[in-house]
Amino acid sequence: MPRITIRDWPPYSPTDQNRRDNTVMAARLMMNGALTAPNVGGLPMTEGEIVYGEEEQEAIARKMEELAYEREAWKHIFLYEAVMARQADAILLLGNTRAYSSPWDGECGLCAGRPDCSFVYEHRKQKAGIIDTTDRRFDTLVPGPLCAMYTHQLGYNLGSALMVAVHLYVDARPFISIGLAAQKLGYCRDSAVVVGIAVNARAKCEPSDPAVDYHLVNLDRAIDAIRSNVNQLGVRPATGKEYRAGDPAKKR
Amino acid sequence: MPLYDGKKFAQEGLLKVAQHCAQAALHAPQLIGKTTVKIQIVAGEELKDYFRVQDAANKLGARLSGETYKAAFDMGEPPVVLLIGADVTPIVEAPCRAACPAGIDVPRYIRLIGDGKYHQAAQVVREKVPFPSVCAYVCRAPCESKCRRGTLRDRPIAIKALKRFAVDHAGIRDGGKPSSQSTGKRVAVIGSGPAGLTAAYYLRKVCGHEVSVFEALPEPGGMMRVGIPAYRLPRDLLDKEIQEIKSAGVDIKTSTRVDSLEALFEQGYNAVLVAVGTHEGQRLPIPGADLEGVLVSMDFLREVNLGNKVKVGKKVLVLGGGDVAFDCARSARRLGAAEVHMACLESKERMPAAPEEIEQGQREGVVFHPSRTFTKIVGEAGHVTGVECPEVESFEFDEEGQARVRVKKGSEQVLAADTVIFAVGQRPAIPARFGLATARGTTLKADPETLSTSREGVFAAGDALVGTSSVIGAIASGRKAASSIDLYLGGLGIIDEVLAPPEEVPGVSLARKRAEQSGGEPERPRPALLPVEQALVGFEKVEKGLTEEQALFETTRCLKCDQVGFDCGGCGFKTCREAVVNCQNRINETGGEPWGWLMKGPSCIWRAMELGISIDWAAAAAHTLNVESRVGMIPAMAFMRMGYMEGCTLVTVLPLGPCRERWYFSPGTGREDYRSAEMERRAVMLQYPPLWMRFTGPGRDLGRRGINVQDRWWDPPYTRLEIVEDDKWGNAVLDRDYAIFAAADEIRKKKKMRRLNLPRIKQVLDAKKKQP
Repeated sequence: MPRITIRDWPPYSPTDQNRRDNTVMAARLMMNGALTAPNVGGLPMTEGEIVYGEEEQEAIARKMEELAYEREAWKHIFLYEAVMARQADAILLLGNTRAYSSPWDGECGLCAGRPDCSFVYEHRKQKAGIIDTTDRRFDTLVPGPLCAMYTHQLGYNLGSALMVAVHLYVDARPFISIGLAAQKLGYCRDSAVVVGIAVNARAKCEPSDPAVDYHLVNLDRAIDAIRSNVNQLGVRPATGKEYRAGDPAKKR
Repeated sequence: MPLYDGKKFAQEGLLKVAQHCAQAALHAPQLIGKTTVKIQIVAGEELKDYFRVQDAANKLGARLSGETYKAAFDMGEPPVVLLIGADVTPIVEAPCRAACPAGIDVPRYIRLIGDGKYHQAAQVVREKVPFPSVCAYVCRAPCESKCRRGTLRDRPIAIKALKRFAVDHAGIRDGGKPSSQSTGKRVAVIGSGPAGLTAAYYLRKVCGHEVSVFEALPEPGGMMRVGIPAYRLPRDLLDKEIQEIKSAGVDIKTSTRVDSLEALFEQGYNAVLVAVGTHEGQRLPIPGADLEGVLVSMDFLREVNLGNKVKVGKKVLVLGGGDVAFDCARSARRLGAAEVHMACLESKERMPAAPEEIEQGQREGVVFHPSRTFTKIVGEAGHVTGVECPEVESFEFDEEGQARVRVKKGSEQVLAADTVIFAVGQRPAIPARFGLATARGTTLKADPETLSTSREGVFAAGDALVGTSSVIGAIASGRKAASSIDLYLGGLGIIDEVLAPPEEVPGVSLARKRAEQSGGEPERPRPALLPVEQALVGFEKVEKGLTEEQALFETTRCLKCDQVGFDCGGCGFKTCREAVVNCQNRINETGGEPWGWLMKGPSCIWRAMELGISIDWAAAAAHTLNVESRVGMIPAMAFMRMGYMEGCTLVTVLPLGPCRERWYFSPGTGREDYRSAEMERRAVMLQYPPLWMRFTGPGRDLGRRGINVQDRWWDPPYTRLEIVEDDKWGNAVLDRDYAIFAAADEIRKKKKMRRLNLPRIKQVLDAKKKQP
């Protein structure tokens, strides 16, 4: 039997749903934009996924919060941005499928090793220059070393997707944290490096100007807090009498 | 309506498009916000330099893409080339390092102190300055004012104190060794202050020129010797550092005044550096300035510091509020003045002296009279008795540097004194017979880039050029002058030294271990001071250094701004620190030049990605404006080597205009004008098979790993690799790389830019060659 979940907050209205659906359309076009970005070596290497829906976004946000407590350096970023992953209308994930498994072989010298990609090859099990991608164990956030040129390439893909967002007048911002958490949940599973773009179509785009301690002080939690404290905001309850007869606001 | 030349009009349009693209790149969304995108535009005749490098590479079999640039150029429609790049290494420019005029790698030596490697930390300082101790004792520490710990959290790291700790605990000093090479060129340096000796040291030790330093005073050191009192800079340290410069082969001729530059050139010197400092103190033109008992800062300090007998009265008044004024005031206290007062234009909060000078002056009993001007020196029987000092309402400096002061009416007050010392600024004493152009009649005028003066072969550095500044400023100026002089004499202008050994990353640093043992939040330490009574009886150093415990603790406060700090592992290192250390070691190994065919690694994957977003936005902007463009990497490599985009490790070109390679490969697209160029290109390709075909596919890697290449199961159609010739081919690639470096260096030479270290590059490339 499928899960039936009920929560009375936050409410989802049909207009809210319409806006979110439209954002998914924008995210789809952004993905197309990413595919037409300038390309290193002309090889196919872009992978994308759109994450949309309360449950799916919540899962990513929770994974981010879990990662936040693994290392002090990640805490601030992951906690703040988990809120943004939760609040996004949709998330576009973009990854590069070659950065781990088949470096550029372009003698570029951009990574930390000798300019013959040996730095990547030597850190992998490989035979005949073909890297074994079945060993997926790694103890770092990103399974490095990656081909630096192909990670640079992912920047082009992100840039094009973001440029499409600009032309479609939706708010979009790239997040390393969202991509890394989503990747750990199995999204873009062929990619070694994934970046998430939170796409929003709201009048107020919070990720642009988050408050300090944003994981605590954000719009959703602020509204929720006001709801629970509404009686303490100086609003006098009409107690004692039936309100139609004894509303203290009415002057007799 | 005027008629426009279509091609010219289009060119102007392309420049505007380039600006638009640059805007887009600079305002692209950020991923980590730690990548500073840099832009340069190359257009018109300037492209010819690129074609020269391209030719040099193509002769050796490369096919430097961008042939269309040449074809379009020949047709009178040169593309406008936008270079977009950034430093994408894991090393982020730390504000402290950026603030240091000499570019000392502050985070690195702090890290090494934290690891307990004090000698290596001192060597890091020494890599940029030949006076590490002087710097550690008297530096104005501009790094501390920019320290992010101070600007964002609490108080800045005690960088200067840590530096002193490192040099004090460095153990055996690595003395300057004379250069084994000799260029046969001779350089005369006039003045043995920090600028002159710095230039002399690098010109001799690194560049191999014969250097003579001429000093008018009986002792070398300039302002370090006769300006800074011994209680701030112990003389034994200064002597040791000057001795090391002498050991490097620099000849210092003391008590030798130079009056004529001609005489030096006649003696066979090929270049002259004027670094005479600002040793002439100024006496304000106010009534009574020539009374007995009125002294001038520099004359006073010179006599004191050379050990001559100087008599001061019981009540001394120093006019001025800078470091020199404090040196005078505190020296006067040590010479027996019972009361020392200081009066200056600025309020106490805005006094230009270093805060610790003010604090220590106050501790030694110096009385301040801030916001005062000086209108008259009063006296009796020809001897000074006081100075009329009305209060200042406001003041400002005009364009000529003259103070415009408004005084409070009726605030005139005579401050009594039997000795008055003017400490209101210094200027250089440059003999008129030098015949050098000056700025405002005082400081020397020189090209800001090359430091060359109005006279051929004569350069200037230090305070003589910019007015009174700081020791570290003078050292930085001396470095710049050394580089320029070396270039002038036909050298490469490279004065960088690598003295610290490659850094290793310990599991847990010594500082971290100690901090965990003792617990608690570290706070900025305060170095202990000599008790006042003891300090005032002589010129013993006042400030004591940090203890080992204090120093180690202090290093744990560093925010490590020089690292991206995400510790993601994407670059192949588990921590950003490991990545930074790897990067620094590599820069030291290669002299900062790329190892690879294209770019300079190692890179932080996120910074590389962030730059990608910017480049894409620039390309998208061109696309939106219907202008042809094509992101390219290979021409960017050539431009980098030619000296463009200094400081960037990853650069791409975005040629705007007729530049798309597809015109070559798709004849009939309406650009048949390019057909002849296409034919020519094909002929070249027949002669030299296309290089890039060899770079695809995994087989190339197999060859390198010694797999039996006869087992050609991967043969066409998948690749067309002549793996058997891999060794030979690899060597040819290295020769081609060198040819590109050499051609690019020619362009740098022509443009009088910083040269490439070709001998070092050759060494690195040759080491990579496989012997048949």
